[in-house]
Amino acid sequence: MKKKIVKYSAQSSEPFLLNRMQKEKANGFYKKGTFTNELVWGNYSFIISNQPKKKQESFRKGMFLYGMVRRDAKAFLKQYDFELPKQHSQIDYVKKFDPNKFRKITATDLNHAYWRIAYNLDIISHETYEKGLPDDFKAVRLATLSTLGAPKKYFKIVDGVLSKDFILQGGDPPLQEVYKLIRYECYKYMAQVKKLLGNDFICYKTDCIYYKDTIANKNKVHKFFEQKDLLIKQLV
Amino acid sequence: MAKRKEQKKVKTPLKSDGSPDLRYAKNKTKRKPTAYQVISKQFTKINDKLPEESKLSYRQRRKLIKEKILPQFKDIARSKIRVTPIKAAIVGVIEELPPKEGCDINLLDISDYAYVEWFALDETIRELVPDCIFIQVSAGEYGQTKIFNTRNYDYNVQGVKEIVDSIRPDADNEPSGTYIFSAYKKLRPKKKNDGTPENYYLDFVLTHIDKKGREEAYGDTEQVEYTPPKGKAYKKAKNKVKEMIEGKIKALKSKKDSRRRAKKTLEKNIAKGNAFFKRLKKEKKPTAALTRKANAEFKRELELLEKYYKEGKITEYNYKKSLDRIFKNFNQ
Repeated sequence: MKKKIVKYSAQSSEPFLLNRMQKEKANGFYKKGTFTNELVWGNYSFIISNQPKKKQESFRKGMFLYGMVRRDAKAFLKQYDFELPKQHSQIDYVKKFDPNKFRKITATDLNHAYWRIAYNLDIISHETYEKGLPDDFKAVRLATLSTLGAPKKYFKIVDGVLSKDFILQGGDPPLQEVYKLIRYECYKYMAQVKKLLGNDFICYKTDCIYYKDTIANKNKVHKFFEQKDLLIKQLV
Repeated sequence: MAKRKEQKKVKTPLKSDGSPDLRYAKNKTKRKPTAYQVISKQFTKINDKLPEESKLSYRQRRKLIKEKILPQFKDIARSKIRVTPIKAAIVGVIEELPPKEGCDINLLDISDYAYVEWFALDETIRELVPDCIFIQVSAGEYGQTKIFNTRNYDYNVQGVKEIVDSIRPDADNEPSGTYIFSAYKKLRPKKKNDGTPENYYLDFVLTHIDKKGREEAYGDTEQVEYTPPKGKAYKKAKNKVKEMIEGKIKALKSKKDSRRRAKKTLEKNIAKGNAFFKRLKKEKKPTAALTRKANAEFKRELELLEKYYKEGKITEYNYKKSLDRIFKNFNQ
């Protein structure tokens, strides 16, 4: 796809543009994203925000993080050779859950888990880490990591009709591995805590683990995450 | 020696009561037309007979006369200039001109004109629409222009300014993307839908899109359908037009970028200057060196502003606004 002239458009103009393309029986491309959708028609690429105005603002303000994270991750790739840890499941739970067995349940959640792990693994610098911490940037900092090296998926619009065919644009596989490293590292910790808890484990999902509420269990979990230099909050 | 012809005396028109109308009293004698006027008159006559896609705008004609035709008659006395060599010179100049491109609406990609912000309409017509097609601007209650050819486009004359100015009060406080002009291909009155380029026109219809995405068009959005003959020649012509428009879009983009950069630099400099003047004010006894520095800063800001204004990178409105700010900051 040739480089296009970018036009930023309001959320409300997306149906208008799609209708016009339909009327003209035009060909183009359409990409749905977390923060913006993109419509490519002729010489133009229409970037259409799909967030409420308040979120748009924080997204715009946090745009600088994309560049910082990409730069840091590239530097990390140059500096380190790494192997991906064993892939554990993102979600795990006890197959036969008996509520009577666990009278009281508690949960520990990791604060900005992926961001912190990226920092601990030296993937992002201290400066980047600090800049991404404000609550406003929660969605942006997640997006900066999840889009690392990811190809863009454009659905084809043929004769004005959105089809299921797509093309992949760009993408950087080594950078994608970096994101995998962060995720797998997170799941690995969860699997390790599960092992630590033994029969008192109930379930975990990405960065939050549920288990039987005892002081001993809480201590175990807290100590483990402290050792890994991760920040936590106790939910219940 | 040839006798000099007596200049015709022009009678002063009379008012209804029979007295001379003094508004016209100055033009007592009719001046002889200049060489430029004679050539211009002949050029207009020839231009009117040209096919629509080859016609030249008034500005283009004036440029050609001044640069190419007038110099040919420079050494000939005005009284000895005859119409026949003038006509020959005009035809010669016209023949030298490269054929105009993009004059066939059927070859244009409508996507280039499908989404035009209300405030960018003039810029789009001036910079992106080929200067040899018919267009119209339809904005319902905000106004409508006649169908006119873009070769003589003028923001004021064709009524585009009036329309944009009447949209402004409603659209100014709305987010971008609320008032949009979108071009539709239509057939000119009493013309056949046979593919002849001059039979079609682009209608820029205003559409209001509310926050929920509901559209309200301020004009007819029905288009005329014409299937052009398929073949290599058509494809080639279409590609040529596409390249031409792409070039125009790129040129406009670089112009816009340059304007944006200028605005940013100016803002930065004014802010920097303001901080400096504030610091100066806080000093109880500013040193001579500091005062000199402040004057130099003030001069630099003004020079930068003048430079950008002369280069057309900032508008008159912004020029005046920035000038006010610079003076206000300096005199604080």
